[in-house]
Amino acid sequence: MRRWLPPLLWLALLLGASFAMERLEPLLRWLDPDSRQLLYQRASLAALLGRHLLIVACAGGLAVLLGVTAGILVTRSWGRDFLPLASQVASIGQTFPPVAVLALSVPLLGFGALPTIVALLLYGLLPVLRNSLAGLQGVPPAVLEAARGMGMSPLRVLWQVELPLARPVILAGVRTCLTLSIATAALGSTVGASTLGDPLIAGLVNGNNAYLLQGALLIGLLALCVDSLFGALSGPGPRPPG
Amino acid sequence: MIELDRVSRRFGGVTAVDELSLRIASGEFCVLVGPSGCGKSTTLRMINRLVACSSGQIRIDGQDIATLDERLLRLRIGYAIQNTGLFPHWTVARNIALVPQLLGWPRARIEARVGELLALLELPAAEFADKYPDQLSGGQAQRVGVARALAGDPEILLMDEPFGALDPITRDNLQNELLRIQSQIRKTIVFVTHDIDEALKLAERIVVMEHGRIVQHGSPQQLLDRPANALVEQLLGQSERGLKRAGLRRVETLMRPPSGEPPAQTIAATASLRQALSHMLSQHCERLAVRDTAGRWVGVVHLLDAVREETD
Repeated sequence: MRRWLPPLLWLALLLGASFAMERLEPLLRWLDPDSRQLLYQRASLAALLGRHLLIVACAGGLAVLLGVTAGILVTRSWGRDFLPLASQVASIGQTFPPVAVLALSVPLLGFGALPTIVALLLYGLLPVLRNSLAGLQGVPPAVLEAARGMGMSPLRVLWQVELPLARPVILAGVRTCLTLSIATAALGSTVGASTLGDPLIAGLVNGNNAYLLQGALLIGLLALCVDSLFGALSGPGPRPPG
Repeated sequence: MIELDRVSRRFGGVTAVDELSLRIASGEFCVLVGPSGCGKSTTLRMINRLVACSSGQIRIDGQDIATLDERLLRLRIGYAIQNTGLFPHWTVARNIALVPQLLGWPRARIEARVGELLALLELPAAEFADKYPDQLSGGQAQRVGVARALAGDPEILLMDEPFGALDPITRDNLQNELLRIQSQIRKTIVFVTHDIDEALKLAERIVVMEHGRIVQHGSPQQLLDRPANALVEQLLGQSERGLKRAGLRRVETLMRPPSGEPPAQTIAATASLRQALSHMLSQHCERLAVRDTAGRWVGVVHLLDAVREETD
């Protein structure tokens, strides 16, 4: 159970920071002695954390659903025609900066959480798709040949052989997708979504270093929390598959 | 009984199997042999429909396999391949239990069957049942592969170069195991190899293929006695053909009854004439005492016996 310790630790720190930021007031005072206001007050940090998480969960959940599904479809015998296309999209897509997607989606979708979710989805889809393809294509051909030759149905081969064997690689993609999304979701605050980016923007606009630290601290802790959770998930379980 | 009736398979413009007809009797050990690309693997894979026929018909016990459900057909046919194809994320026991599980056997029967097969393949269950494939040696993994192929108690066993990736000693052991198992279970086995010695050792009938056609088929003895053409002769190793024939004859079939003093050098009655000759050459002697498994002196084999025409 020791592998669950790091995520629990980060989670405790994250919750501590979002519910009891006032305890850090001496530190913030030292950092920014001139500010009138040290603690971000326009919304509670816990509420911002919740909205941030909601946006990441929506975008990430959709990205995983679409990415893994697309990866499965183009590695079926009848979907292989689309495999080169999917691989190309997966490799070039990540060269788009999310800010650009954000800027482009605002005129189409207006301000708020929706353009943020779209930008995160497009950005996060690619690591998931790329890793789903790599994982599914990495299943040894002899294993698939044997599975088919033994009389397993295609669905059973997918569910009992391909997905379990591709799981570590797919999980690594989901991990990248989510950590990227957590960091990038803060940009949503520039287009009117309410996220942990709010204190950052306010800090930048007002020259308030204490606000900046609070936002950055929470985003960092959240990313570490999720990342270490995946570390524990994919770490040595009862037995490493593959 | 498996019948192939003018079966062809074309890949694009290439004909891999060309109007091939073959009848394999129930309980027969049939080995397809030939150079790479001769269509032997394709022929094998058409029998469980991993490859579809372009034309012709394959029948199992008189039933056209094209009319059967693909999965039900495969559940009736054991399949073992060169790289074992064991599922790396499943234990040995679960790998072996695959087909029984697909067949929906009750749990107790599956467990009993797995135990039975581990014993048959001489893999002690206590040691191996819970291991994962990457914890096994090549030979052990292939034993598990064979056990898995046999698990559903299929009438037919298809084996595609199952021992091709093993070292010579392990391969030899597994060939002996397979012969022992086959003498107990009497399945219809179709076995593909490019190794003629493997074919001579295992087969009741050898089918030599080239360019998707059958060049010759017959018992190992028939092939060695009368190779149909230059390819078969070349495959059989030309200058060594005499020795390969000697490899098929057992000492006990040509020994003389014991008389006088037994010679100093001995050989087992079940050894081949080839082994006897080798022993004579290395020990510089002309006579060997033949002893049975209990060590009793049962006869004498003489160097001259080796060149005598067979009488049986």
